[in-house]
Parts: sequence; C-alpha cells; structure tokens
Amino acid sequence: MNNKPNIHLFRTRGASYFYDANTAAIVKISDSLYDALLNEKEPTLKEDIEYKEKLISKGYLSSFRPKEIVHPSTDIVEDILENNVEMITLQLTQQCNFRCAYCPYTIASEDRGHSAKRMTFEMAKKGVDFLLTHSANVKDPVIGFYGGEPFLEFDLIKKVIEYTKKKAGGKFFGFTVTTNGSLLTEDKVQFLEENSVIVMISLDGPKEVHDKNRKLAVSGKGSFEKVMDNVMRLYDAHPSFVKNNIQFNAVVDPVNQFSCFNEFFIKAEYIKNSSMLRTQILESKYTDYSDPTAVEFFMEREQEIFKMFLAKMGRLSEEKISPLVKMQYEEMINKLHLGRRTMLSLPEYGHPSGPCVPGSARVFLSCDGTLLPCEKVSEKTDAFKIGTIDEGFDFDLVRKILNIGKLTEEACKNCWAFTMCVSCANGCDDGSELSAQKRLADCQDVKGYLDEAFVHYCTLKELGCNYAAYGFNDPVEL
Amino acid sequence: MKQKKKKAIVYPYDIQFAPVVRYSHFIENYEIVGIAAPLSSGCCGKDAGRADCGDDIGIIVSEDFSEALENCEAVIFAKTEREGSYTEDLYPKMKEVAGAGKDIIVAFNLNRDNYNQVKALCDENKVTFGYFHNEEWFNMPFEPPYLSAHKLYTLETPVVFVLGEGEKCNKFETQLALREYFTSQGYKVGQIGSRKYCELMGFHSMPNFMFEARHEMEKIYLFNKLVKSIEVVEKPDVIIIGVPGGVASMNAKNAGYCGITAYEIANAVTPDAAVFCMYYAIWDHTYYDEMKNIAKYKLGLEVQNFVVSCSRVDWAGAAETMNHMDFFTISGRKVEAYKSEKQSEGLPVYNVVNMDDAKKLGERVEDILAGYAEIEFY
Ligand code: SF4
Repeated sequence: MNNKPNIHLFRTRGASYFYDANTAAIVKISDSLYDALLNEKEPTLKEDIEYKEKLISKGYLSSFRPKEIVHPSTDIVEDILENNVEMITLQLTQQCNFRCAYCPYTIASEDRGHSAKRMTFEMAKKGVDFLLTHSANVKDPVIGFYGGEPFLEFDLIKKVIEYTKKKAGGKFFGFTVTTNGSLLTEDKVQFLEENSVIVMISLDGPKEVHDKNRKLAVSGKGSFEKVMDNVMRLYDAHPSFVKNNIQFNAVVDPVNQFSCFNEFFIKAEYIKNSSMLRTQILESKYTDYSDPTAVEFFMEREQEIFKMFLAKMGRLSEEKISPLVKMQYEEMINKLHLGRRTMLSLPEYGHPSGPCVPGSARVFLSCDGTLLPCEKVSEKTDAFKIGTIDEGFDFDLVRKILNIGKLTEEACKNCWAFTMCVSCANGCDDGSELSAQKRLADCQDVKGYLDEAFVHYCTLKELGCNYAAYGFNDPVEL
Repeated sequence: MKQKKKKAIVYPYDIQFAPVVRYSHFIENYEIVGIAAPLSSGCCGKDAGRADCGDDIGIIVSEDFSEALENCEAVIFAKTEREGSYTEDLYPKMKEVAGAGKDIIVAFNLNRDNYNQVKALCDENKVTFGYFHNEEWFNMPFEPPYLSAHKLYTLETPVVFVLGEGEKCNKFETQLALREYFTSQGYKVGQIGSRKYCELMGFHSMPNFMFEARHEMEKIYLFNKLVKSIEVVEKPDVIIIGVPGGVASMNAKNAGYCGITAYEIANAVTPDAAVFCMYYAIWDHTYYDEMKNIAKYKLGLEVQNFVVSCSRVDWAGAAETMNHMDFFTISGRKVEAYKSEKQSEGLPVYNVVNMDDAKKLGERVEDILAGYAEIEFY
C-alpha cells in the first residue's frame, strides 16, 4: 500500500504549492514545508508542523488511492446511449480534392485512404433516424458532415438537412460541416446561411505555410488562393453569417516563424470577425520539433503566452494578444477553474477523467455503416468499431473503451492526475489495438501539461488575476 | 346520465405527459385512444409506458400524426420536455385538426397572441377549444369564499405533501397515484398539483401567485387561504399538495428556486404525511436520512416515504451548464431492482410507475393518516 500523500508539488516564482489529488484543491504552503514534503521528511519548523497538522485534520495530504479502476457509467451505458446521443457525424465521402500532408486519409494505407466510397442517402437517413431516436434527453442535438471533403456531396447535405427538419417535429437540430473551404460557392453559402449551418474551414496560415501541407489533389499545387478567394467573397457578401457561423481551424506547423502566423491571423479581418479561430500545433510525428526554426517558434510562443498573462492582469491591451495563444488561457480556465470540482476524497471505485461515454458525445457513422466513438479515431482499429447502424451499439466494446484506464490500472490508481487526466482511448491506438504502452507513453505529456497549467494558474493568481469573475475554486490558503 | 367521453389522441408525447396518460381516466370529457409523437421524442414504436420507464399503458406511440388523427374526435396538444416549435410544428397540426372538424385541447403554454390565434382557428372551424395551462395572463377559474387575508388558518382535513429533489423525479406520477388510491377507497380528494395543467385532470394547478414577484409572506398567506378555501368549498376527506421544484438547489449553477416554493408551501400548510421523490442513484440509507433531515430542518416536516424515479442527473453535464440540468433515463428494470433492494433493507422506497407499488404507497400513506386520526387533538 502506498502511504505517501497523494499530492503533486509545484512551485511558481513567488510561492510553493501542492495539488491535493483527493480533494482536487490547490494548497499554498511555505517553501520549507514544500522541501520537507518533496524529500518525504517531517517538517522541522514549528509553524510548518502546525500547518501540516491543520491540513491533515481538514482532510488534505491523505494517502488514499482508489482501490479499483471502474468507470462510474459502466453499468448505465445502455441507458446513456438510448437517449443521450448528442451528435452524429456522417462521413459523406472518403474522397477529397485536397491531399494534405498530415491528413490520416492521405497517409493511411488502403483501409483509411481517400477511396471513392460515398454515403448513400439511405444510409444517411438511417444515421439521422439513429440520432433522432437516441437523443430524447439532449437539448440541441447536432448532425455533423464530414469527409473526405463533405462539399463534394452537397446534394446529400441538402437532402439530409431537409429530411431532418421534416422529421424533427420542431425540435432544434444543429448542423456543422468540416471543410477545406475550396468548394464554398455562392449557392451553397445561401443554403448554409438559411439553415444556420456552422462551417469549420481549415486554414493553416499565410500562403507559404498553408500551401506547404495543403495541396490540391489533381495538380499537387497549393490550395491557399482557391480557399482565400472563397473566404473573401463570403466575408464581403455574408458578414453576419461569417460572424455567427464560420469557424477557422489552423493546424500550425512550428517549422515556421511564429510571427508570420501571428501577423496573418491578427491582420485578417475575416478571421477577427468570424465566430471562432481554433489553433492546434501540428503533432511532432508530422514535422520536426528539433528544427532550429521550430525551437525558435516555441520560444516566441512562450513570450506571447507571457504577454497574454500581462493582459489578463490588466497590464497590456487584449488587442495585442496573439490569437494563437488565447485558446491556451481559455483551456486553462476551463480545466483548472471551471472544470476542477473540489471534493472530500477520491472514490474507492473510479476512473481517471478523460474518456467520454463512447458513442454519446459525437458518434461517427462511416460511409459503410460502421459506428465509431468519434471522427478522430481510426477506422482501421477494430477496438473502435463500437457497432453498426443496423445492429446498434456493441455495449461490451463500449464498456471496454470507457474503461480504458483498466489497461494501466496500477499506474492510474497511484497517479495524482486522476481527476484531471485528459488521456482517452484514441491515444492508446497502436495501429491495431488499444495498448497500455501507448497510454503510459502519453502520461508524461499529460502530467507535464497539468504541471505547467498549475504553475500558470497560480502565478496569475499571485499577480492579481481575478478568477472570482469566473466562479469558484481559488487556490486554498488556510 | 354521464356524458360519453370523446375519443382523443395526444400529440406530442414524452416523459412529461406520461403520468397524464397513465391516469387518463381522470380527464373529464376525453378518453385517450392514441398517441403520436415526432421521432425525436424517442417514444415512437414503443408502449407509452416506456416514457417514464413504468408498467405498459397499452398504447403504442405512433410517428404518423395524420393517421392517428383519423381515429379520434379531439387532439390534446401536450406539454413535453423539449417543446417543439409552435409555428413549424404545432400550429400547422392544429390547422389540420380543426380542418378535420375535431376538438383542440391545449395543455402547454401559449402566449396570449398564440392563444387568440388558436381560439380564432377553432371558432372559424366550429370546433371546441379547451385551454389548460395556468399563465400569468390566464388564471384557471376558482372562486374562493371570503377569508381574511392576514391570518394562517388551521386545517381540519389531513394533508399529504408530495415533494422532491427537483423536476423530473416522478412527483406528478406520485400525486396522481395517491389521487387514484384515495378516490378508489371512496375518499373525496381535494388537490393542488405541482403542474400548470392539473385542471385537465380535475383538480387545481399550482396558483400563479406562487411564481409572481410578490412578498414571500403574502404568498404564504394566499396559499394557506387557497387550501382553506378548498377545504371549505369542496369538503374533501384528504388534501394532496404537489410541491413544485426541489427542496434545495441542485448545485451553484443550477440553483432553481433554491427550494423557496417548498419553503413557502410548508409554512402555509403543515402536512400530516409527506412523500419525497428522488432521482435514480445508488444511495445507502444515510442519503435517505439526510433527505429526511433537510425536510425536517428546512421545511419543518416529517418525510415517511420515498419514491425513486428513472431520471439520473448527469452531474458531469450539470457542472458545465447553467440553469439547466441534464438527465439520463435509467431502464425500468434497474429502477425496479434498486427499489426492491432498498425495500429489503427496510427502507420505505417505492417505484410509483409500477402499479402495484403505487397502490402500496397509497396504503402506507393512508395508514400514516389513520395513525393521526386515532389520536384526538384538542
Ligand atoms: S496521467 Fe497516465 S497514469 Fe495518470 S491518470 Fe492519466 S493515464 Fe493514468
């Protein structure tokens, strides 16, 4: 049995803290108590001894660890999937007019390559009916259109939206399309606007950056100009649609100057006036993080994060903040502030946070009728085939993915990140099955991300950032 | 001679209206012969009893409204959890109903303009329009006798409270189950329900003044006066009161009314028995003790019985959403198994959508009231 306190120690420039895994509280401590806890020694200073006793008497520093990994929703997955499916993503086609360097379809072998497979209207209707009949408890269910490039099947999109509206009985259903933006012609935009469809356009940055990875299939040339023509036309003709319904998604390749992204995204009016810009850094498997340009990129990014913190303390105008790092702050607030719920203790039987109930959040329907937990997982991996549209869900498989922590039971039971973990089954895919090694390999990243978030969170607090404006859970000082 | 009931169908339909259908014999002029609902209700093709995970009702919910309409003389437009669009769905269907010369009964909230529109439609087609939904602008008629405004009257009639953790925890099913039991035993029942369309079932809806911006003391006096009026005018043997909302807030983001209405009602009237309705969750007896204590120390009343529902709070979702609770619906089989386990532990927990259990709950409440009756108070 592990008798050590179930905590994670960390320091900012100004103070020492621990994150208490059992209560999910962040507790400020003296530097000397920090050292004692770090070295697993009893504190020697009178005030530290007293403070430690006080903490223990209030339930902090407990060595309690869960006895068994079992997800609390395990026994009710059938019930959840009967009435709480929030979104279905329809893979309208596997074909695409782009060949993006990091797209799984471009890279993949024949199982997930750009094939000529398309979804029939009959199959799409089954998908819609599936959502209609499995979302009674959901306020605003969503139908997502995905590809390949979904606008290659625009007639199908139209038919599906019309069919859904006819069948919905006045209940609101949302629609989203994830597109490369090259086929957004005026007639399509009018229909999308009339039906309040959310459109997510992939745009990776200025021409030289975007064109490096996002090439047209036929000519092999860059796609920037084609996409930009459409985006500019859209912005001129439909400004309110852009403001409310257009989102941009940028996959940022760090082997580029940070400032070139920054300038591009800060200057572009249509992005500033769109409903959202999401950014994500291209994974290291698709680019070279050790390239000197990438090293410089990450250093520049740190500076931008620092500027953002200054802005949050009211010392710099928000206008000056890079849109590429804004999301980092939002994520941190969500994770550590709104998403962290203090409690009395970890449960005896529980599961690390991270996995959703597979199929409930955004079930993916492939062209040929296979159900997968979401659009991000590989269609190649059998463990992710959680059912078929005709037979419904395979609940045993759903339970297995839900309880992904079973793969790494001992590590998870003893992990301070238990209720803050962000690891889900997708990260455990080794190409053919779900693997404990793959899951454990990600743990350092998960814990590193959390450690950094704790430090940023507490630093901002020390410097006067007003978290109270967001709600609850300030760091605890007894 | 009693008037023959007209054949009616219900549209749309989900868990919200399941208790009305389950106890539809209380509806005065209409007999429910069919139910239609859009596919998004999750009820189509299933027995209507599946909506609240209870015993079968014997009506399969149809997706085909027009077909269902052929076999009836009236349509009851029902309140549902996820209300459909009036303009896109409900009003076009009302036109179809009126055009076919059939009555329109509305048991969901219409604003004044929509009310006038439906009324005009019914007048034009010479069909009956029945409206059963208490609104700020539309109060169900009830003429109380004159009673002093600033006095709390003592009641001579036994009172039963049905209260609970919040919405969607079988409070209305329980109120109707108790009405069913007591009327079947020959008692005259006076009743104020927790919903706004109880007049459809032959009793009083929760009055609007309880939700208006008035001084809380005034609400307490008015509610006490209303219950006393029912006692004086209707001369019931028992009064059942359904308490809207929960007894406390669910969490900081879903404060609801923070149990204010329950507090006011409990200050206006002291019940002789109380049934507490709960969401589905695997609790041990300490949770039941805690609920009893909340009722005792917050509201000053004794809870003797519990009802478990099929709604389970999605706490992860609830932590993220403001003023809106998400629920999972747990299968009736699991609810039944849980209830049996609790009963075997000696806890008075009932599954009120199981008709045998509903009757047992009625018997137990009757016993509790009889216990009071044995002692004479002066
Ligand atoms: S970080 Fe790793 S060990 Fe810790 S809870 Fe997550 S998956 Fe388990």
